[in-house]
Formats: sequence, structure tokens, C-alpha cells
Amino acid sequence: MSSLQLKEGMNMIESSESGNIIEVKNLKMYFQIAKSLFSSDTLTLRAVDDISFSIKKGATLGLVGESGCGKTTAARCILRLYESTDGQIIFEGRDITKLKGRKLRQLRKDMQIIFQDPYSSLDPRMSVGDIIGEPLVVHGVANATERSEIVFNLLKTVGLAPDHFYRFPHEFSGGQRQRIGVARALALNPRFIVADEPVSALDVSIQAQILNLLQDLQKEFNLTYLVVAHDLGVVRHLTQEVAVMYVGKIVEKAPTEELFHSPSHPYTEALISAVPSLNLKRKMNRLVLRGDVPSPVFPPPGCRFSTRCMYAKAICSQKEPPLEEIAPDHFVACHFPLEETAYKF
Amino acid sequence: MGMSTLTQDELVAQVKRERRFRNRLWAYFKSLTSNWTATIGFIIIVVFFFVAVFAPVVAPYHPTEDDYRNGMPSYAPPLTDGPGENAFPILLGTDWAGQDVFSRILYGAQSAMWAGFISISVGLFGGISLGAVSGYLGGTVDNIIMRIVDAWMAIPSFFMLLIIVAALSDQPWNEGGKYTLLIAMFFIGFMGIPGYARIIRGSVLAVREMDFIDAARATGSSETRIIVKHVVPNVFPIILVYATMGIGGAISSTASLSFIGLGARPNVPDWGGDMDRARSVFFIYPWNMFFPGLAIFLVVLGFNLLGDWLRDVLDPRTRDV
Repeated sequence: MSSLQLKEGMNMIESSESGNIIEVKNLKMYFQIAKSLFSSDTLTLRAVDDISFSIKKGATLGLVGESGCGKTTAARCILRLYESTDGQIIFEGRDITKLKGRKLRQLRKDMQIIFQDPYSSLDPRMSVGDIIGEPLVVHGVANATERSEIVFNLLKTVGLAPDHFYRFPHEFSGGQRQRIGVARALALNPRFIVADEPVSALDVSIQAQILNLLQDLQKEFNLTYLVVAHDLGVVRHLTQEVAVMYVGKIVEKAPTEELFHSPSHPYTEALISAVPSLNLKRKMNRLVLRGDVPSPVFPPPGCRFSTRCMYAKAICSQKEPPLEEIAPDHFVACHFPLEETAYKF
Repeated sequence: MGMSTLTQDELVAQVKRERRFRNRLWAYFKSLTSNWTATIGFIIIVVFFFVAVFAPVVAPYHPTEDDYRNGMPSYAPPLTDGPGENAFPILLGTDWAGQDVFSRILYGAQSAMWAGFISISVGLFGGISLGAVSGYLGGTVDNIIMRIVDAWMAIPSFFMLLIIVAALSDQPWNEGGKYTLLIAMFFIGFMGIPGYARIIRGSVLAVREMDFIDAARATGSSETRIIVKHVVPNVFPIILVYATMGIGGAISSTASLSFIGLGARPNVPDWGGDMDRARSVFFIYPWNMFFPGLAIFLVVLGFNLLGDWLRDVLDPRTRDV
């Protein structure tokens, strides 16, 4: 047995014991960008800089953070839409980081994606039936009649009518189009689905429908979700665990309720304070962060949040805090994790 | 959400019928006839091609035989009786040499058709190659190609053509300017390349950035399948529309070159050339210039109307097929 096979075997044992469907270890995604037209020097954009997490089978992890923090890039690395620079992605005990060719194609059946933009995610020149059936064609799963049958069932599953089969995407509303995207993602019976901002492009009234649909499907098909979102309300509704990202790094990771009740990282606290509330008794001011998000090309030394953190001390801009477990399953990367906060959600 | 009253099996059958229907050419034909401007355009184009191909059969008179052999007067007005018993009337008059203007227009369609065909083939071949490579590969290749295209577009094509024609008219192989019109057609196509390259690059780039390309990749589609099933179908209609409209433009450009004496040889039936020769007598015998001009106008209009309809019908968002 080669050392590689041995390693794979050990991974399998490890993950079957822990019940994790996916494990991400030290994932890095760097982009090289040209400095100027006349120089061959490049700058490194650290979109995702050494993040690790795992998701238990049937659970949902939320990846939150503001625009440009690398959450979507991380999700796309996991789906192997981007080739990650470094790190390991382990899916059902198998290292999939370097899978190629046929094996990668087989893997595609097991993990799928739901996109943010229901308009650009559907080919305008294909009928709904063809869009939902395409994954089946690609994998040669069924003949034409069986395929129509499967697509009809999928339409029913996501709450569309069978006669939508031969209509075109432009004939549908945003929410219906998102349902079509969900049906396509379900076509190959995947076990793991990445939902990349699944509702942020939709009307608020439609958001709840799609969120409930996602939850129902999770129960029905025993799906595992990775939900990328910036809306904390969505995240709270869908997830059991949340990882907060800031400039390419995970700054805090905790079970959802715990994160919202006792955020330990100042950045998480600021995010939570920004959620609008209908509770009139909840008297609190929004924490307004000063300055801009640092560029992932030139991250600040030490803690990446130190330039904007109201609690920052000298050490914060010198030494990078490691992600440490401060309570069971509650990890935070901060030199001075908050013990108490007025900001809850 | 409208609930269907059909059962699943019936729906499967209906989907199959629907698909077959979609593949049928007459579905497009039906859409064409329901749009009167497109119908006019279509009829003009069909007549144009028919005339170009069958000019020797349908033309009542020989286009280049002069009045001595035809027995026709110079500058006869339209609707003059033809020479001799039962002769076909001289519908659109005759020109300075007593040649039948109507017959010359019918023959002139051949030259116009070649102008459209050659220019558009050269332009599209170059434009698609450059644009697709540029858009699909991106990066440095894209940058280099697009800067060449920028420079290309800065060339004043009319002056360039003047120089080329002047330089080539003395060549022994081009005696009497017999290849001048052909060179002009190629050149017009050549100068159209950067425009097509830009359009095609832009569309390829736009399509490549769409999420449905990533969706296809995430389901395990190969690059070939993505290009064939997603990129080409989304770019092709744009090409087809621009090509259709471009044919009209190429015909009128070639005609203008002939008009200033840079295209057709003297006496070869050509709409632009005929207008050139009728220029000096325009105020005395206007039909000599008017009718070839009308032919150019109608054909260009026809291609534009057809192009408009194609744009609508090839885009599922606006088609009613």
C-alpha cells in the first residue's frame, strides 16, 4: 500500500468517526495580479488565507462576512471550480483537492451549487427542462424519456408546475428562477450543496419561501449545506454552525445560537450590532467600524482586524492571533476575546 | 403558478411534440410572415438572390450589347416599346449606349451578391477567429489582439483602397482592371474584420462570465461541451444578425467604390458603376441613375429588415416561435 493510499485510508477512518462529510484543511487561494504593464512582477491577492473547517453530515454551516472577504472564493474552491493554491479538501474521507478527469467528473455528481444571481445562472437559450436535465445528460444518467420523467418530478419537488418544462427562463420571476436553479442542483442527487447567497438577489417576501424550500429539501434528501451569506438573519434561520470571515481568514467559528448570543470576536460583535431589530426594548447603538476593509493584497500585520478594532492594543498589530477554542466548539482568533457584550441578536 | 390539467405521460408526449415543432423551419417561417417588415425584407432578399442566380434567364435583353445590335435608341425613357414585333417593353429605359437599364439591374445583382458574400465571408472569418480567440483566452493574447484591432480601425479605409487600386491597376495580371472589383470586395471584408472581432470578443467575454457557465462546469460538463452547448448558441445569433446587416453594408460600400470608379470595369453591369456613368446626365435622363440607386436601396433595406427580425427571433426573450 502506497503512502498516498494509506493517507487516504486514514482520512476515511477519521471522517467516518467524526461524521464529517467535508473537511477543509488550511485552504489557501492566492491570485497573482500584474503590478503594471511594463513589469513582470506580480502582487499576491490572498483571497482565502489558510482557513479550516468541517461540516457534519446533514448539517449546515454558514460562511459569513462582507463583500470581498473570500467567502465565495472559498466555496468555489471546495467545489473545485477554482484550483486552490494550497490546503486540502476532504469529501467523505477522500482527498479531492487534486482530483482530475473522470474522478473529478464523478465527484461533481455529489456536490452541487446554487447561485446568487438567478438571472445569469440559467442559460437564456435553453428551456427549463433542458436546464434541469443537463446534468443528467452530462453524466449519461437516463434516456430522454426517463430524463423528462425525472425533470417533472424535480419541478414538482421545488414547487414548480410540470408545464413549466418547455418554457424559457425569461418567462419566470426571480424566485421561480431560483427554484429552477435548485432543481438543477438536485438533479444528480448530490449529498453536499453549496448555496452561494441563495436569497440575496430576491425580494424579501420570496426569500422566506426559498429558505423554507432549502430546509425542506435538506430534510427530505438528507443534504449537507454550506451557506455563503452576508445576511445574518438568513444564516441564523438556516445554519447550525457559523464561521465568520474577515479578509480571507476565519476570525470566529461557533454554533449558531452561541455565536449570536455571545460573540467573542470584535468583528462579529460589530456585524451583529448592525442587524436591524424590531425589538424596541433592545436599546443599543450600532457599532460603526471606522476605516475601510484592508486590501487582501496588503493585509495589515498582526491581526487583520486590528486597523479597525476599537479594543485593539499594541500586540494586535504585531502578532497574528491563532484560532483558539475558548468554549466547546467555539473558536475565535483574537488576543482579547470579548467576555460579555451588549450586542446580541 | 398555473396548475396543469394534463397527466405526466401526456406532458411527456407534449414536450416531445413541442421539441419537434421547435426544430421545424416553418415555425420560423410562421413567425416571419406574422411580421410585415420582416416579410418585406424576406421577399426582397429572395427576389434578389433569384435574380442574381437566374439573371441570364429572366433578363429581357442582353446587358452589354449596344444599340446597333439591339436596335434600341440611347436614353429611351421608361416604358418605351421594345424594338420589333412582340418585343419586351423597355421597362426602365435605356442608357447612353442603348442598353436596357432593367436588364443591367438584373445582371448587376450578381455583382452585388458577390460583393455581399465575399466581403462578409472575409470579415466574419477574420472577425470570428480573432474575436473568439481573444475573448476565450483573455490575458496577454487578448490585449495584443485588441490593440492590433484598435490600430486596424484607425486605418482610413477609403484612402487605403485608393492607394491599393492605384498600385494594382498597373500590374500586368490586372490588365484593364479585371480584378479591381474583386480586390475591392476582399478589401471591404478585410476592413470589416476589426469590427466583427470586437463584437464577437465582447459577446464571448460576456457569456464566459455568466454563472450558467460555472453551473455547467460544476455539473461536470467538459470544456468542449460548454463551448458547443453554451458559448456558441449564445454568441452565434449575434454573429448571424451582424452578418445579415453587414451584407447590406458591404453591398453599398462596394457600390460606392464602383461609383467613384474604383470597382467595376466599364460596361460590366454593376449598380454603382451604372450610377457613375449616368451621373453626368442625371438631370436630363434621371432614370439612368435612379433605378440602380433604387436597387441598392431596396437590397440594403431588405437585409436590414431581415436582420432586425433575426435578432428578435433568435433571442428567446423576444421570440414568439
